[in-house]
Amino acid sequence: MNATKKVLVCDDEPHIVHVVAAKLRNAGFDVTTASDGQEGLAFACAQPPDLVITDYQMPFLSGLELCAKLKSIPATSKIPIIMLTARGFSLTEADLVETSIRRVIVKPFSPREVLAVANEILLNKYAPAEVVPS
Amino acid sequence: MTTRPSKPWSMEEDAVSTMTEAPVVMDDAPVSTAPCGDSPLAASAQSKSLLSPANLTLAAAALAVAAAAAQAAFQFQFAWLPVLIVAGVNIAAFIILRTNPSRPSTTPGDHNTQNDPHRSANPDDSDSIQPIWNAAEQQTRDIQVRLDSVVSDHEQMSLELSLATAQKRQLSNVLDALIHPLLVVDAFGQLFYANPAAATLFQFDRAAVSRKPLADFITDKKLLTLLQQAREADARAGRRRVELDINDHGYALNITPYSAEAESSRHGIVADLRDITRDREAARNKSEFVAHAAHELRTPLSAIRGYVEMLVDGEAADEKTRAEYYEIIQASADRLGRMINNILDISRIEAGTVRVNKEPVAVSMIVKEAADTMRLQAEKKKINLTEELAPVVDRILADKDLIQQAILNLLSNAIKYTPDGGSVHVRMVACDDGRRMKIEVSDSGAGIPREDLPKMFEKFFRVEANKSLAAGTGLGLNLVKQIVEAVHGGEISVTSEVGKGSSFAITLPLYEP
Repeated sequence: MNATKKVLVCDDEPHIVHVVAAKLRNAGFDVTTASDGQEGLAFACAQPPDLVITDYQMPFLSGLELCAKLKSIPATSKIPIIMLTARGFSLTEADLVETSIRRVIVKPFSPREVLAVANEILLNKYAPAEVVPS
Repeated sequence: MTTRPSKPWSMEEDAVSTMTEAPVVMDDAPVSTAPCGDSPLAASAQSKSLLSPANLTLAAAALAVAAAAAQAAFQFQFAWLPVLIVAGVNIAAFIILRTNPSRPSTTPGDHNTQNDPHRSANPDDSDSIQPIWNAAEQQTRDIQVRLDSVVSDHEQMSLELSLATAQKRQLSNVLDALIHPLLVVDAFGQLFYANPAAATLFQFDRAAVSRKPLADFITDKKLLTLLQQAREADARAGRRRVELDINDHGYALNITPYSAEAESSRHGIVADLRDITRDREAARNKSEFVAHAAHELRTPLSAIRGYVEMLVDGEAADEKTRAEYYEIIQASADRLGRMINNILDISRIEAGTVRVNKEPVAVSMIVKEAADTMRLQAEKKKINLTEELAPVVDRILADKDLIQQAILNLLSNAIKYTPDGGSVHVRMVACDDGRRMKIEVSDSGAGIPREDLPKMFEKFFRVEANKSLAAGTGLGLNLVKQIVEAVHGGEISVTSEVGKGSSFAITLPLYEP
């Protein structure tokens, strides 16, 4: 069932992308990776995923810009997003309302946590309610 | 007079006490008080035939003028009054001498009535006139003494006055020279003093400062309120410190109560302002640096945490994957360590607390050692690392370890961002001015986009396009810049072309013994 769920992981830090992708793949998700916002947007448009996990700080197109773009394109506007960030504080209420960001996970995060949140969003499985500063 | 205390206020008391004595002399003058208890009235009566009452009255009047003048001299401190006193005394002496023609002129100083030869030669005349003469002489002496004292007091006073004036001027010059704006408000809320810095800041004419209401000068409402509150508050509240903005500058305002008199219930205030715009900027930069550093430190920490958790959860299925994870953890830990070291080094250099041990060193030796250190790393990527240690005068006054670290950083970057099989070249060049030398590290690597060149030495800046080539801290080049520029007074520059390579150059002043 998980195999049918497609996740796009977007971060300019290869190790982060790698570990998140490995965790999700092990859990049965179909994972695509992108190393910056622009690439992420292109992949998302080409083949809309069920979930986007993106870093906040990325070259060319920041995580927030990516979220806004995805929101503005009908094919991707409803895709839920998990934002990974070391700067959760710079996200405003408006940022969250105007995008499809469902959760913010603060670095350094735990892959378990990312998987739990992804499951919660995609499969409506139980996951800890509050997010995450760890 | 020389033993007189030098405090200005003691002079006043002294002058007053002398003044109270002066009228006594004046009152006594007409009856010619004799010092030894002779009967002046009898003597005066006997001498009527020779020393006419009119003449005596004239003499007494002249003495009175002298005494009055002496008193006036104290009161008004007029320099010309002593002249009048002397004149009065002389007139008195002249009148007395004219009324006694047989008497030879004697100076008041050598007067000796007992041995006067004319006393026995002309006993009747002498007996009648002598007590009066003595009295007059005595008074003349008294006046002379007082006169001396008056002149001396006056000199002392004018000396102390000029000293006080000089001290006041000096203090005023000191306050005027302060770069910090300073305002003194008296107990009635009037501006009593403002230094030029304050006049410039608040844009008022300093010449107009003379106990006018503070509001005439200070238009800034917040400051005005603060000053007025401080003046009306209990002086025991002590000093207040407030930060406020004036004309887009931040100021630290200190308000200190002061009293003109010791026991006064009212008090004025002294307000000084210090421009803290730069301090604020420095604090902001520091906190931005800390925020940025914390963010950057989280990235390798995230990787470490993530991979460790994967291993713990048994999500690395085979030995190969586990080995890969261990390697990533190790590399991330190394990167974390380097970042922490770089952050500390940069922050120490910026704060000026880095221990610098400068001595004359040969650059060629440092470059050679650095190149040798990096050779293994270069060989791993089959990069041809070459040196060109020109036989130039290459002694510089430098901290060997820091300069070596700078060159190592440049070499390490060159190797990291140059693809396998490329080349890295380090060379020394003498500058045309003969006073500096250049160390150049060139590579055949990825190159830096033109728009990124100005940002290359900023903290945490990394060329996005090249991020995937190597794991960097974003701090190495900033550290090189700090070492070269802040510690050694040199310069660093970069030229580059995308796809062809980059060249970083350090210019350092040569050692001149």
